Order: sequence, then C-alpha cells, then structure tokens
Amino acid sequence: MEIIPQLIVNSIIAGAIYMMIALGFNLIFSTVKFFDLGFGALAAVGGYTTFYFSNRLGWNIFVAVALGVLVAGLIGFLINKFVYTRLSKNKASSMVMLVASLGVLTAVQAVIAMLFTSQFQVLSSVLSATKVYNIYTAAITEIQLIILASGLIIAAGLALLLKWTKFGRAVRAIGDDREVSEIVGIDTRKVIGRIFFIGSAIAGLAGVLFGLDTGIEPTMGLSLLLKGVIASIIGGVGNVWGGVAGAFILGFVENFGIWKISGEWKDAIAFGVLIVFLLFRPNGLFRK
Amino acid sequence: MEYLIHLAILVGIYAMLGISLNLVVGFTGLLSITQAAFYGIGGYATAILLTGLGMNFFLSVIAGIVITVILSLIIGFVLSRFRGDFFALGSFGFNIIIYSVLLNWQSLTRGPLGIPGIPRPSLFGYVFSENLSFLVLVIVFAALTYLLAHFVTRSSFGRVLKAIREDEEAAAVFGYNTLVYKLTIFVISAAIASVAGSLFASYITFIDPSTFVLNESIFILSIIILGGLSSLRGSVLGAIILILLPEILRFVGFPSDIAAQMRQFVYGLLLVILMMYRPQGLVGEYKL
Amino acid sequence: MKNTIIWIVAAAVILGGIWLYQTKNGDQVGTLENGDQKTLNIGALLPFSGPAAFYGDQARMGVELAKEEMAATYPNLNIVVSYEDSFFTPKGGVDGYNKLKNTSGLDAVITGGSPVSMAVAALSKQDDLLQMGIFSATDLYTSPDDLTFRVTTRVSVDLENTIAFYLEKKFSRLAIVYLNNDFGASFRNSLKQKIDQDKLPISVVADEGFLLDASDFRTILLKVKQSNPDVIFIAGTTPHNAKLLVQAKELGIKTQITSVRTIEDPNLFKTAGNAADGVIFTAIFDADSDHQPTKDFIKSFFERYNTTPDTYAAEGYEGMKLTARALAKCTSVDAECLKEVMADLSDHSPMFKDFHFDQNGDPLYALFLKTIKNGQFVKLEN
Repeated sequence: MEIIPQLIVNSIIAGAIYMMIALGFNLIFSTVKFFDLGFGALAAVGGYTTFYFSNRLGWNIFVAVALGVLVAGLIGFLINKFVYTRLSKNKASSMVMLVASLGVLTAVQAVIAMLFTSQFQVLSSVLSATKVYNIYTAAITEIQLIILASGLIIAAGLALLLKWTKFGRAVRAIGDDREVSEIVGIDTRKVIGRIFFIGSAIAGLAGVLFGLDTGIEPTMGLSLLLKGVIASIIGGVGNVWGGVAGAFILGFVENFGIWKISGEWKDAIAFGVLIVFLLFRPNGLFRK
Repeated sequence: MEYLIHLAILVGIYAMLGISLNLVVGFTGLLSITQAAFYGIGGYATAILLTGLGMNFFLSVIAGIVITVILSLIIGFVLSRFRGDFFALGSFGFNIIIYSVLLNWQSLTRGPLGIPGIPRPSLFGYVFSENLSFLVLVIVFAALTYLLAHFVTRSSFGRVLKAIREDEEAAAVFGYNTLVYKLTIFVISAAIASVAGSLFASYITFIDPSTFVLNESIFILSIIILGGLSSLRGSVLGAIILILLPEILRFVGFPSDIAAQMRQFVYGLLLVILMMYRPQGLVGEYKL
Repeated sequence: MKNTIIWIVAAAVILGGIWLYQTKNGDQVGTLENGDQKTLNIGALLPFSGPAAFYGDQARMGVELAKEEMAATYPNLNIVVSYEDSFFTPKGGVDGYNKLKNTSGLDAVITGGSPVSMAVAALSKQDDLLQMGIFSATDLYTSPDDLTFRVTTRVSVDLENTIAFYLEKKFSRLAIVYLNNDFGASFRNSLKQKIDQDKLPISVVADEGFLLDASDFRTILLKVKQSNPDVIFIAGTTPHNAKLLVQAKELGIKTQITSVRTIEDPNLFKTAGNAADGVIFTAIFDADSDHQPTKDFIKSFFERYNTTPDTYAAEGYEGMKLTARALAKCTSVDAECLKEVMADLSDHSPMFKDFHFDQNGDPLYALFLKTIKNGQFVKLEN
C-alpha cells in the first residue's frame, strides 16, 4: 500500500516538534521534579519574538530566529529566578509548583495576546515557500526536514552535554538527589538556572520552527506542551532519548489513530495513550 | 437587581463546584483537574433528557448523578494508582477525553452545535422561569451541598481523608483501605459537580461543549486555592471573588480591547502570587 | 469568630458596591428620551479573548465604522455601543447580556457567533428585544415572527450554490473536511442532510473533522486522497484553510476543492501562496464588486483602519447599520414597528447585494461563486 510511507512520514513530522518540546521539558523536569506548565508559554514567546523582529521590524530572519531563542531562554531563566526558586526555598510541594506554573502560563499568554492580538500570525513567508522532497512516494517539506534535523541535533547535543561535561554531571547529580548534590558542593541554584535557560531556549526554538511550519498564536503553548509531556512520559521522564522515542511514538499513534478512527478524536487518542502509560508503565518505556 | 440575581446564581453554581472539588483536593490531597468533565456530564444529561424525553428536571438531576457516579468510579479507580502531579496529569487527560466525547459524539450531544431550548425546572406544576425563583433553587442546592460537605468532613470519614492527605502510607498501615475512601470522596465530588451542571444547563437554556474545557477545571481549582483549601467557607468566598472579578476590574477601567486579556493576566498573576505568598488561600488551613 | 466577621463584612462591601453601582443606572430595556436627543443603547456581545478573539476584533471595527456613519446620518441620535467580551461561550453571552441590560440599558443587542446568539436568543425573546446575530450560521437560530435577526445567511442557503455547482459539473464523489465547531459542523451536517433529503446523485466518500488547534492535516488528506473523490469540500478558518491547501498540494492532490465564505481572506496567501489557486467558493462579499455600497464600505473601512475588511468586519458593519436604522425609525421598543422597518429596506442600501430578510429574520442576498487565481479572489466565469 503506497500510503504507508506517507503515514510514516506524517508521523515523523508530527514527532519532530513534539520531540523538541519533550527534550526541553524533560531537561527541566529531571532537575526540579515538577511539571512546569509555564514552559509551554515559552514556545509562544520564542515564536512571537521572532515575529516581532522579522515581520514588524524587518530584520534578517536568521537573526530574528536567534533572538527568539535567546529571549525565550532568558525569560524562562527569569521566571525561574523570581518564582520557582523562591517557591522551592519555601519547600513548596510539586503540586504548588504546578499550580504556580499554570499561573505563569496564563499570565504570559495574556501578555502576548495584549501585545500582538489573538490573531493567528504567519512567520516569514520567505521560508514558508518551501521545497517539497519526495521519499518513496511520501512528501516532506524543507522546513519539516529542518525541524527534524534540529531536534536530533539538540537531542545529541544534550546527551553529550549530560554525559561528558562537568555541568552535565552536575545536572544528573541534582536529578538523582538534590540534597546530596548540595552537600557535595554543587551550586544547585546556578545549575538549575542554566537548565532553565537551555530548556526554555529549546522551547523557544520549537515555537519558532512550529511558527515557520504552521504559524503562531498566543495559545499555541499549552497544546504543544501537553503533547510534549505525553511524549516524555511515554519515553520515561528525565530520559533524553526516551523523550525522543516517546515523541515519535506519540506521532505514530496519533496519525494511525486518525487513519483508523478520525481526525476529531486526535486529542482523545493522545491522552488515552497518556493514561495507558501512566497506568502500566509510569516510568516510561526506557528506564533512566 | 436582575444582574445581581444573575451573578448570585453563578456564584451559587460555582460555589457548589468549588466545594465539590475541595473535598477531593483540599481535604484528601488529590490534585484533580477534571471537575469540568463531571460538570459537563450533568449538564448534558439534563439537556438531553429534558429536550429529548421531556423528563422532569429533578429526575434528570438524578439520572445525571447516576451516569456521573458510574463514570467517576472508573476514572477515580484509574487515577487512584497515581500520586501527586501524575494524578493531576492523568486527570487532565480525562477532562480532555470527556470533552472530546461531548464534542464528537454528535448523534447524542449534537456536538458543537449544542442543545438549545432546555426548559427551566418545574416542580408539581410550578415552573422556575423567573430568575429569582431559580436563584432560590440554586441556594437550596448550594446549601444542601454545603451541609453534605460539612457533614462528610467533620465525620470520622472526613478524618480519614485528612489522614490520607497528610500521609497516605501511614493511613494504610493503620488498616484503612485508602482506595475505598479516595474513590468514595471522588464519586461524591463528581456527583455534586453533576448537579451543578444540571442547574447550569437549565439556567442558560443552551449548552455546548465549549463550557467544559480544561480551562474551566483550572478555573474551579483557582476558586478553591484562592479561597483556601480544606475550607468550605473559603470555596464560597473564592467563588464570590472570582465571579465578581470582572466587575471589580471594570472599576479599574482598562481600555475595552485589552480588558479581557487583562483579566486573564490578573488571574494568572493571582495564582502565582497566591502560591508564592499565601498557598493556604484566604481562609484555608492547608497548603498543597 | 473574628474571621467570620471579616468575611461577612467583605462580602457585604463587595455586594453593596455592585448594587450601588448598578442602581445608579437601573434596570433598563427601552429608549431613554433626553430632551430632544434620543439615546440608543446597543450592546455588542463579541469574543475578545480566546481563539475567536480575532472575529470579535474585526467585527468591532465594522460596528464602530457603522456607528460613526449612522451618527452622521441621524445627528439627533446619541448612539452608544457597549461591548462585552462573550468569550464565544453561551455563559459569556448570557453574562454580558445581563450585565448590559442592567448597567447601561439595552435597546438592542448584537451577538457574534452561534453559541452566543443561541444562548442570548432565549433572553432577548423573553425581553422582546431586538437581537442581531453576526457570524452566526447555525440553522437553529431561525425563529419566525420575533425580533431575532441576523446578517449571516443560513448554512443551507449558502450551500445551494455549491450543490448546484456540483450537480452541474456532475461531481458524484464528495469528500468533506470540516472544522468541528458550530461553523464547520453546520456546513457539514447541512451538506449531508441536503444530499440525503433531496436524494442527490452524490455520495460522501470521506467525512473528516478536525479540531480548532489542528495544524497537521496530512493524514486526514491522505484518507481523503485514498477515497478517490472528484470534489473536496473544506470548511475551516483561515489558518486551517491555508494549511489544508498547502498540504493538499504537497501530497499531490489535484482534485477540485470548494469552500465557503471564510476562505476569502487576504491572509490566506501568506501561508498558502499559490496553493490556493483554483479553489471555488461561495462568496457573500465581493471586494471587486460593482455594487456601489460594497465599494463604499471597503473604501471607508480602509481609510479608517488602513486595512481591508474581511467578512467579520463586513457583518459587524451591516448588522450594526440595520440595527441602528431600525431603532432610529421606531420611537420606542415597538416590536411591530421594528419588524416592519426590517421588512422594508427600500431606503437603505445594504452592503451585501440584494439583501433582504425572509419571514424568519434570516437574510437572503446575492451569493455567487468565486475562485482564486494568482493570489486574487475573482468571480467565477461561467
């Protein structure tokens, strides 16, 4: 059947965006151990920053993208500094952090909507007139290949960072046991700050790329985030490559679900998968 | 005066929702973010039975409760396997799944087109078509809810719930079947939300799925967090404040094109500030 | 004890404040006569936040422009438009209606979107208040012999052109791809119903819905392609339409695509580029029209806002004009007078060509087929 290759490609395309969100999210979760829902808003921040510089001010698209990523990282860093750090100093439970992050998500989305209106915007049309490549009767565009490539590069980069650098070891140590890491002398606040920067920057990049492929609107963050969370859980929270696998698995299940059932049930299918995994394999497919 | 009555009706309905959620989150410590699903089931049960079968409102309330009890037993059972933030995520999932059903099961719910013409309740020939009489009805239900909740939480059953909240393992060690307790309160909570939904459907006389999205569950959660977890009066207070918030903001006089976004922003900020500085809410005693 | 007292005092203060504020204005449904200046209080329940916020913003621009024009035409009228965010939900609509009725007073209400129009209709009928629906396409809104009107054509009327086109081209295999909200679902249901009821020689070979936040239609389109249709009907909003067209092109779908009025949006091309070429749709609002009122509207709108109007702005504009005109001519909230004025539009040049109301307050006007050629919306030559 010649549709199978296209279905597979569709799944991979879907998985590519989820993968980036999962990577950033996983990184943060592995150190602070709470579900930071505000993370979703950072994808929108990245997308809109790029929009502002490239569409409103007319700057070069690559510069705008870089700025989008940086600003997202910066804002994520600042939110951590002023909100989450303070909360964890008060020994707040992970549920409190979740609710606070919910507040962050709502507030950031509202600010974006105030500044840019709720209208759906398109990022640079220059890159959106993309070439289409055909692989075994399946079509994929240039932007989608870029998304795929970026995601894999980031995943590889993260894996290397975590495994081979001193910073990476510190991150893993904090993930294992935060108190012990502090005792041992690791400056956990500084490491976590940087993790937030990196993770948020990745979210920003995901937002930008999603924007280039599709478009941006202020509420884009939450649904992307939830999918990223599902991907992380499938793959095993805290596990870099697990998140990657989870993202593609989610992409597959969604698309095959649409194929077999229908498009309106897409969200229900995705969350059904989440619940199945939470029930039977809450640690994900791959142990950390 | 009419407007005040309208607001009071909404406050009554949301106070019921708040109290119902508080039983699960505040008293038992389970971070459930799916109350809108049960709210929706009650609403649709009433809508379908009243418009389709001409059933009496009060009977439809009972029917709604029955359906909700069955569903919440299943959902509660599945969710009971999770702890803390995973519980929250799983509950997100159920909210979205049930919303999908309401939206896509078009032959039953008419999907996004909604169900119009839901009649007001009638009892022995008296029809509650005047808003004032409807308000009286709502107050009666709300008072019953409050009394039920008061009774449950002050009883020995309630004490076990609090024990589960503080340390579930310890409670289990002491011989309490924590699963039964958690399920029971979850079902009671869902049933109350269902009644609130029935009232809501009959009041607005038109129902569509858009009311029962994840954001609504988050709103209900905010009511009880603001008011104070494990405080029933707090839930009522929280409902009053959050329903009247748009009115209060009106006094501040934002330009109308950003007023709505400003409201969202204030609301998100409120969540963050509450978590940071007063996680026990205005009159609560328990911090998440 | 102290806590309870604080609590009761706080509640009393809040409630008292609200009561004071709104008794200043009192309960009002009806026109105030203030000397020889008549004040018209028109409420506009539009979505200003959430995913439908864009429609509200656009409609508001149309309403404001209409208001200014009406104020110039009727200088002794003080036209006040109060906007309330409806959130595009029934509760939001009811909230806004109640608020406006009791604070600024209401002589008429404009409601945007089917969910809001439906919920408010129950109230406006009770209050015998003029209600003007805009971008509300659901068939359910139709009700005879009362003051509920709308500017949006019924979906079934809209589809007549489309179906005639299908029959003329002898299309027999139809694929439907629709946004699963009040708008898209109305179209899809109506299409299927018409085909069923009139026993048309068209079979629906694919019927795929998608959600509001959908952006990846590839698998849906793949299913459509597999079903081998000879025409594809799409109904969504601009972001959806654009991605659908782009992805259909990527997948090599060459079947004729038809759509509805919402596709006529210049923003379509930002994403779709020339993937939109060839789409045929039913238009209500012809930007190149030789209908003078339409040209005037587009010109005034552009002068005022420096952007071209879309269908939401157009409906807001026309809805407001009709409403204000009716209230201006009738000395009080006189239902019979209003109905008569709405039935006879001879002294008004509606922006939509051949616009008039049928006996249910639903509009009928010239709908025609247009197509997209080289990034332009042009009339379909036949």
